[in-house]
Amino acid sequence: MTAVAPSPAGIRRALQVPWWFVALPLGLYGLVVIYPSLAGALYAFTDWSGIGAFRWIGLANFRAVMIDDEAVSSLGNTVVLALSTTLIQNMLGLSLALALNRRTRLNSVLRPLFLAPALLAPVVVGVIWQYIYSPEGALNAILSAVHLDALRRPWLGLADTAIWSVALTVVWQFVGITMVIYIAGLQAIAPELHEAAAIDGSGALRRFRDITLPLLAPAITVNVLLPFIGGLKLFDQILVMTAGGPGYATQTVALMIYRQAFTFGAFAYSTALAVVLTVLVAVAAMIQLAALRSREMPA
Amino acid sequence: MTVQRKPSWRQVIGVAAFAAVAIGGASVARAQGTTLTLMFLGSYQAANEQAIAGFQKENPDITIKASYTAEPQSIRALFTTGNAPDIPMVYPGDGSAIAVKQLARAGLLEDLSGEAWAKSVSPSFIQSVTFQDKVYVLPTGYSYIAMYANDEVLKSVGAAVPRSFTDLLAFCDKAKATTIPMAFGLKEQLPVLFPGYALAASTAFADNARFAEDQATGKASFTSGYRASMEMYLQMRDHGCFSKDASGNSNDDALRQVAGGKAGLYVGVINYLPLIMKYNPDAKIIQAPFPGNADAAKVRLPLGPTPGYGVSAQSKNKAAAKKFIAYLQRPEVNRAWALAAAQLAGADIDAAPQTPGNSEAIRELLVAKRTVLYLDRAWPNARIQPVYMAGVQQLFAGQTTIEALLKRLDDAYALGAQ
Repeated sequence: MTAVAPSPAGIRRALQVPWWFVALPLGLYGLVVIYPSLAGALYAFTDWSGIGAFRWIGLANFRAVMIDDEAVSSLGNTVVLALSTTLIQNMLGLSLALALNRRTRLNSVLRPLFLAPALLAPVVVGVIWQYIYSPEGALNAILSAVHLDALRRPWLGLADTAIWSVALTVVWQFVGITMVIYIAGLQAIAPELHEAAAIDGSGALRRFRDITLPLLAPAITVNVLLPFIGGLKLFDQILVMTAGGPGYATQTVALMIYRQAFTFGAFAYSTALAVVLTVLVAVAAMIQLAALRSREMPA
Repeated sequence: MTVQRKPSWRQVIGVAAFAAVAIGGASVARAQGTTLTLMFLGSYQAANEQAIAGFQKENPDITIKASYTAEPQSIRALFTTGNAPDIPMVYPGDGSAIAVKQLARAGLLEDLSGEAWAKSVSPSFIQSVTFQDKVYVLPTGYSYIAMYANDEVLKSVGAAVPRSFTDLLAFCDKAKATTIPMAFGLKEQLPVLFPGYALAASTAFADNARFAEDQATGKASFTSGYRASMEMYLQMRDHGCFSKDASGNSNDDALRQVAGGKAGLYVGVINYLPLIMKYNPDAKIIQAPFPGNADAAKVRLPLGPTPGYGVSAQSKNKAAAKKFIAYLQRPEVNRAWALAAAQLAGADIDAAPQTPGNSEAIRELLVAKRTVLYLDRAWPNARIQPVYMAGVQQLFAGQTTIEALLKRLDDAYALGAQ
């Protein structure tokens, strides 16, 4: 019996998803995600105070955001936090993944240990680190114990250390996830590639640069994108650890949105800030995705 | 072995009939009563629960379901969604998102001017609870900002309670070698207000009792009146009144420091006195006015009504809600409430009441009416106070100047009612 190869048109037809098959989930998504988001965004073009009537004021809220020193400073803090956490988290995460990649008994204990903080709620992490950074906290106690009293300081109370203290807390919490994604990427690389390169005389550094890094590209894409987007939306840890202070030194856009809405009752202005943040996250994510995807090797 | 028998139809009908009667009976019982919802700041829970228990005993047909929050701004969100409690906590003045003027302006509060108690609100504070001459809030209690001195620390330093600003700086100069002269939780924003308000009350308002009115009419401003208080604030820092770790301390850390004898002084609202005593029941704490002026005769006591009780315009149980508020206003109930909340009772405010902790020094100022309404109670919007709090933190961190901060405060004030 001879098998008849299906025609390309037949394959295309077979792979096509019928429109009615996706209509229901798409409709539901539109109803519970797209519609409320767009409807909420419309308030950015009003003067609504959260209660009572409102009137349309066009782009006035967006113009106010652009000249608001507090908003600009919050945006700066947000970008600094997003960039620094992404960078440090990836460097540490990749180092940990390389160190813990081999299947040993010790590594099987260490991996979950590094991952454990990611299972905690950000608020809990914030509370724990608030105590660690407090003037009488663990960090200063350790510094004193190793005779580094000159380095003791109120870490969250000084403008020049508060933002980095928060950044390190975020890295501590999420570096385990970055590590796991890198380990998954490393384990997908065929050992034969390294063996062949080693036989050809390539050193460890060369193999890392020419084999490991290019083949880790998909993992890098995920590991850069997720922490960066998370960094742009940082809220819980900041609220708990510094409440945006001292002054506005650690205030992020997300925290400012909350304050504008619930402390000042400026719901429309806070919605305008939220729209700006959404656009920022979307644009940053698209640029990153395009740049990182272009480095990925075809499967 | 257990044999399970199928229930007969007669049994099923019997159980169903019993359930129907029971549920129906319960519904009738509920229909006869009224359930009120109340939402308040968590720190007032003990005072509230005590009052609610007394009210429900007198009014068994009314049940009050109270909930408490650390973020009272959430009450505004409940108004937004149409789920406001029957009795919401309302801040006096206009300086908060749930301040009486903000909520009344939006038509969200019931006019309580017709209530019998409304006529007895102290004339000195009536402006704080009214909007367009109508009363919307019962001011149950009043608090003030005072200084709390740990007697043991004072003795160890060989100093007396400072009576003037000069005394205070001298105390800091002397005490800083051996202890923290003044506990301060600068990491949080709220504690920033306490010395700041006390300093401004004894400078800007001591020189011009009508400063708030002048500010409203444009004759005075933060720039014209608050400079001295800001300069004195920084003088305190420069004389070592606060520890170098103050910027990393919370208000609770500061309370524990003064309670435990690690610091000599603390400045804060009277509501914190019970916490200090809780942290060290054996501590001898002396309460005194904060000496915000080099001339002790010019020292003023910042004082004001604390969050009060309003009735939501959305409530379906307005009569019962008003009944509870009228109950709270009864002198004996009000005094018990104030005692539990560590405040001055609203019913006695004009008669110079005994203070929590029995401070004669504070009472003298109350009797002499050397008091100033909490500064933010006369501010026209909710933006000024956060600018003040963040601005003072920035001032201490060297991120701004007094000039720039005063201008930002004036800019926020100029936004007017919002």
